[in-house]
Amino acid sequence: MKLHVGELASAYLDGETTAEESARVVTHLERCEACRSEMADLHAARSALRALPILELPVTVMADLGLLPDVIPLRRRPVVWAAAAAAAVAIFVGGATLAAPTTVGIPLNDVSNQYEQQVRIDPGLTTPVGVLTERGAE
Amino acid sequence: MPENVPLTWEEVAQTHGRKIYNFAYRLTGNPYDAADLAQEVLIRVQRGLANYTPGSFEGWLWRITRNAFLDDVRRKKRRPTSALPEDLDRTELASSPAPDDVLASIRLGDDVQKALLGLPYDFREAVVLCDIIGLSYEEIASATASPVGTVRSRIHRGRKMLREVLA
Repeated sequence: MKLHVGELASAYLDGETTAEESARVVTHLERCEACRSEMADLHAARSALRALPILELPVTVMADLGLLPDVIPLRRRPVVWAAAAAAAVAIFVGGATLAAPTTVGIPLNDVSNQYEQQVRIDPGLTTPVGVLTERGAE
Repeated sequence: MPENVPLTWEEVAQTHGRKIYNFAYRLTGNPYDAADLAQEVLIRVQRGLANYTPGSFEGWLWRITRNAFLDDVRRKKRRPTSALPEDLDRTELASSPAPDDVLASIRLGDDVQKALLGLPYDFREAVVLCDIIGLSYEEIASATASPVGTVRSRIHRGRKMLREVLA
């Protein structure tokens, strides 16, 4: 039996093999149970990674840089931004009282309203918000 | 800003900010470190755009991202006391029970994220850039300053290790 497909297997899944290599993989898989099984495992690992949710960039990141948040439609459902949005609102609110409110780059009310839901649901946010603020001030 | 720059800083931030954040989050497993890093990268991009020469934009961007990440890792190694306890608390936050679909979604990929964090850095980086960010092998090679053959090998071995942990 010819050499097993090895690293070619992953590259094949990604469409990163040459036509010659692809042909070799296909031919080999037809008669090698071990490589078929390995291919299935690799495919499963790849699928698990690709199924991970795409997380939203926290609004604080853009706001701190004086930029408007991303307006491009999401490919997949946002996930982690709730915590970050809450942090953003907390920072904005803090900023509004401590510093001049006119320096806030995006409409405060819109952000507050938009993320009101998420702000209420997570009582554990106070500590990380503090951490985030301190780091931001470094 | 030079005329040959394909994107303004604002455009880079808006089109790539989320990808940079996801890269950092998947490499660290920590949303706060990831947010700090995304910000740092965007600042470096702003500085670097003036000297950007047309070529592989993805490669350029991910080299900056990777360097910022590695600088951050080195800095944290020098100050090990502050990083650990906080990070553990934050991890707890993400896995604490809460009747909320947002936290539920984070937990959905928890086992994969944990497995990912167990991979050696080079393998983790390669599979994240390939399977989560969606770069080609060529782009990953450019971003990591490695030959394509090395990229191929890292992706393959990274996936095999993940599969062993997750199976």
